[in-house]
Amino acid sequence: MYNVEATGELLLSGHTQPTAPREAADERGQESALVEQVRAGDREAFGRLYARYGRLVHGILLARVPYGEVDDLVQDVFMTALRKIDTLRDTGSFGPWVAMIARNRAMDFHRRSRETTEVTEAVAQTRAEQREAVEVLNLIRQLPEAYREPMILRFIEGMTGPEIAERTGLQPASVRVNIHRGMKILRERLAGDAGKGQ
Amino acid sequence: MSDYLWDKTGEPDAETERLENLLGQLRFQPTPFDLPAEIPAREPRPAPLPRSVFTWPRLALAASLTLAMLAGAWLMLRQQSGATNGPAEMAKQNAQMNAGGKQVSPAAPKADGGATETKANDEGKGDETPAVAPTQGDETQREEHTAVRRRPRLPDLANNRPRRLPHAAAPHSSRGESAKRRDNLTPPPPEPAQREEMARAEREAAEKVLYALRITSEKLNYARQQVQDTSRGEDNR
Repeated sequence: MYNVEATGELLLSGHTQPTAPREAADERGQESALVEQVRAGDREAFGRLYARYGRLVHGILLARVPYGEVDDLVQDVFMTALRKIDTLRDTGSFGPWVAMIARNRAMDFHRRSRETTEVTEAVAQTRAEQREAVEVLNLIRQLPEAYREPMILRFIEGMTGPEIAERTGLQPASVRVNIHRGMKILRERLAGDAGKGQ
Repeated sequence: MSDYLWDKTGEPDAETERLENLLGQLRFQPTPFDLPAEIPAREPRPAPLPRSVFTWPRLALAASLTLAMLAGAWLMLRQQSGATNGPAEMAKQNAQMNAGGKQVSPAAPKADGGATETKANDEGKGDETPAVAPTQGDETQREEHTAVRRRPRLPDLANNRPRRLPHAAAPHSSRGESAKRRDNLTPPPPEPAQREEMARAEREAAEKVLYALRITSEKLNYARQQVQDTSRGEDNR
């Protein structure tokens, strides 16, 4: 009952504040132009795409693979994107396309079944001040799959909800619902952890 | 509800802000992307087949045409094989049957013919020896069968199908007793005059059916006309 009401409220509030369509169209146009330049052999254009979508790919990988592996995998994902950029049909959809490559790369990583050791090493390697952050990250990674990506993109990569929706190609209303629900569950789990600590 | 969580506008929630600061340490630090000196070229993909050639509707059309052609060929072959077994063929078959399958015909027993046929069937058993040594049970069974099968078989003149030869016409030494008994019980083929009569009867029956259908059709037409007239009259009112 509570969830349904909350969802309705969130969806309605999403409708009252739609993302500016002109801005979105501009972004798509720029993105399309960059992809065309990369196809023509412009290396700087690819650097700009990397700067623009690096956070997205980083966040998607963080939701799935250990923290210590993410930087290398980001490079891998962009290399794959560069190699296959000719296969991208809609040049204005680079974001959703590269996000899919990142998800597939994370799945490949898990197929090698190295996760257990890597997680332990990753935690050991993190600095003391990062340890708490990694613990919270692990809590986020235990959330339902639909909430993980938007939560990480929002809290770790610092993206706004409309930005997440635009870059991933998801519906803004869905992203909004997922962030709010994920935040609610995370609060509960953090409070539970704090209770155990006391 | 504050919108800070959604688009970072409005008053920030204390816990949201704390989490942002804490988790912000793990944010993506853009490192210079190491582009290789040469961008690896994509493996050349085989040229796709032109879509205009292999579309589903065309494939379906081609398949249906092939099927139609095959069905046509099959029907033609079937008709041809039917034509070869025409009346002349049937007459030949009937002659064969008359020569070979009458040894137990109770209606027209032949003294000499029965003997030769029995010889042909039983491969050299005595003239008077029947195909199967008759026991009392067999005799009664045979009588029952002949009584049941005395009704003459209608020749399939309408469909012009070849009639099956009775087993007695093709003697097999290895056939069992029961098969031989069955052969002996095969009813005799009708006489030519009888066949003509039956054909005539068939024609008459077909004419009667056609006449009945015509009458029914006329009646239906009349009824439809009546209904139409009635409805027209109601409309005029």
